[in-house]
Amino acid sequence: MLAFLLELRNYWFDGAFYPFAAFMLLVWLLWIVRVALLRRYRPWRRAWTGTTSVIIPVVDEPEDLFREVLDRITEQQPTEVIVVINGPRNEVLEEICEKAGVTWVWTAVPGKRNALRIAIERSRGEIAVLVDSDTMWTERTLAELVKPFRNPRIGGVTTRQRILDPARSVLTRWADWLESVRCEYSMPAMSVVGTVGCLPGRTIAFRRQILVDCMERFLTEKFLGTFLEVSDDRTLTNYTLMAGYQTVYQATSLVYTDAPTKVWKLVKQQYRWARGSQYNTLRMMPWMIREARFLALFYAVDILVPFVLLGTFTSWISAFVLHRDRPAIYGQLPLPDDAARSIPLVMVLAGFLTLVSITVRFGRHFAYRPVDLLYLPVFMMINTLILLPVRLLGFFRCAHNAGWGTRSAGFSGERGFNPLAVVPYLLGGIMLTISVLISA
Amino acid sequence: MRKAVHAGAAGAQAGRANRKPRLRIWMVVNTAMLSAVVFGVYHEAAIAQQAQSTASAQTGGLTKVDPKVARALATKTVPTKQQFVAATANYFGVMAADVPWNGTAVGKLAQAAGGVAPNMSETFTTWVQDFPAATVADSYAHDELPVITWEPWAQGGTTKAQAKQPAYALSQITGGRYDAYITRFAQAAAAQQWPVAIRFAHEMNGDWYPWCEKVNGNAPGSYVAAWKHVHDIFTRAGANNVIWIWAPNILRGAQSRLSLDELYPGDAYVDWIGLSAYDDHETTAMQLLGPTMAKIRAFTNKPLLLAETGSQSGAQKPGWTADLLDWVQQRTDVIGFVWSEYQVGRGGSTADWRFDADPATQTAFRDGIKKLSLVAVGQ
Repeated sequence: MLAFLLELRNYWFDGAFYPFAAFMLLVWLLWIVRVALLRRYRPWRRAWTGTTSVIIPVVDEPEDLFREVLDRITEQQPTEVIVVINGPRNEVLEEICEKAGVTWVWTAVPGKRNALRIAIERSRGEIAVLVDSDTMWTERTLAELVKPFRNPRIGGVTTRQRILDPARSVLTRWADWLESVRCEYSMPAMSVVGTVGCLPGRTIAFRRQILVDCMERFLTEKFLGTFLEVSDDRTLTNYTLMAGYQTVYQATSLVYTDAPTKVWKLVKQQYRWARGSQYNTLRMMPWMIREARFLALFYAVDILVPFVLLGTFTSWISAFVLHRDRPAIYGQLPLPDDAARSIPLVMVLAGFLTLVSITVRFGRHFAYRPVDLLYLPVFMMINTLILLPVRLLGFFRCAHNAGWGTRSAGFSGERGFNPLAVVPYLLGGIMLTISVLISA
Repeated sequence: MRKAVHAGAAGAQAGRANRKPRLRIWMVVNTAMLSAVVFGVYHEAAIAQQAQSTASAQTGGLTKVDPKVARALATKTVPTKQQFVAATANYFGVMAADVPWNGTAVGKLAQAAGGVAPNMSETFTTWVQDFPAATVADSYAHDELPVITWEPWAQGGTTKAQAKQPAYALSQITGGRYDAYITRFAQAAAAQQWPVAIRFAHEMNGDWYPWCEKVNGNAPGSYVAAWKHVHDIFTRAGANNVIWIWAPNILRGAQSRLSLDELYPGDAYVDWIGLSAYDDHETTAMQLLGPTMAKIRAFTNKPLLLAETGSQSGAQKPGWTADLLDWVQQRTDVIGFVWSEYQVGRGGSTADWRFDADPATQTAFRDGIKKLSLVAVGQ
């Protein structure tokens, strides 16, 4: 933040251009846009009554947890609940379903998409509510979730997600912070314009007809020469938007979910999301540019950010290693002469500025969980050391379909060479080169 | 787990009730804090900039002192002009590309001289340039006394055609045409406080500069008048830190119809005598300098600096170099020399004058320079 301020100042007086400053400026501008939009966000208040089919694809889940998940759903009396057990037979789960009095189907074909197809074919409700098998509903989740469907133009609605007991570990706190920021900033902002780009899959409601119409594409459509069975929620959201419906966020419908507590699981999860999300961004970009400019902008920035940061870090490291010199921008400050005093001073000032700017930029999270501020350095480390490389890797590999990290019994990918898989490598290579060249 | 989830949900519901005020307070407080720090940073930077621009306005605007150099100098005590003028030891000066601005270039020269670092740097400034404060600062940063050759014209070079420039005739200077510029330059020299040697309008006994007498319409006596005029402006500006070097060319090559004593402004206006003296075929220092020294010592006893010297490539070069350094050591009225480290075609040079141009000369130079005791410029 300090570097950003001083670079801006240099730009103002000397016209010196810094990619990092441009990037930070963009970050703040987007923040302002988001805040301006989300101030107009209101949850839907008037009740809506219609038939609902809750669909739960499941492979394997701890007994107690799954029973609890089902109980919480049946309590809210949806029209029907359909559990699709896919992969190997699981008699324990079958029994739990029997006891709870919900419909269950078993299919030997692994994969969530096939499970969804089966469930959609069987379901009869106007609204299909897709639920992850580890997601905990709260008291009024369903009733709140369907309220926006009063508006016939709305095709998909998502819930507010929280991490269960986030104080358990640093990783769960971090996951909770990310979810919270998403629920407090991007989702309500995008909901205002009716284009939430990705309705998170823990619990989403769609008009059933939309799913019926897109099922064929959902199961087969390729992009960049590959069919990628990840990011089902994002893909379904895309089809809903392309069918001309709005996708919105209902903040009053709350669900709890779990987060990885092991670093490796977190890496795998983030890698899966990074690939799927960036694959879908590339796929949707032409449509977004035509139909949903805000969305195009936010997702383009989403892809660009890791590249810009990498370029910036590279230039900082090269400046430090090659020139053994502190960046010249700090020369604008009246600093003491000897490095032993000036470097700590710059670090403290920079750290404090970063802290305060983050308390502002993520105020909607930290105002209610100020203790998380103590974990901020760790959050930053996770973002830089895990999220950043994972996102870059995810971009480069987004057109590879040989599964790494998806459900073990899931779609295993087609064998064979896919020439279009080089497209993300080319794009990424170009972005990386530009970013490093500008920054160096 | 069920309980926890319900508690969480209830908490979220209850939380929503007092959500707004808390968020509002949080945002107001933190935005205010952020604004205050941002303001503080910009304020401090503005003050630092102001200080720098004031300093650079005083020191001549165009030449900004690098903040790093300024900070390095701030730890040193500013010497007095008297310390340098009264010093009994010698000066080993150089005029070379990138000196004194580039520390690496300075270091290379010291290495070439067998580990003896120069304690004087000579540079050139024309009358379209402001006081070179950065050069002075860089010079002191490398523990060198700065000699500024200050040329009252707009361009460099030494062809006779260039000597004809009525705008820079001596009468124009005396007449006050450049007083505003001279005053600004003098004030800048005074403001930066560090002693600086100025070799103003050098080689006035030649015929290749517009300030030489008997060329460019310059009447007899006009050189002394111009010198005094400029010197007086410096005195009025309080520039007591300037060491004035009156610097003719040696007689060989100069106008024989000019006599040096008529060009001399007087001991009250001069601190050091400077000589431009390049060895061409002479084998000893006295051969090159004797005739000119004899004339000069007839009218002044001011200390003498070879303000430009060097030796033409040739069989005489190592011997002459050794002899010159001995001569400097022996003569109590000669305080040192400024060696031209230019090769042919560099810095307008027509010969390779360098002391490290060949191994024999370099050895002679290293042996000689070791015996000199040099003035400590950095203390």
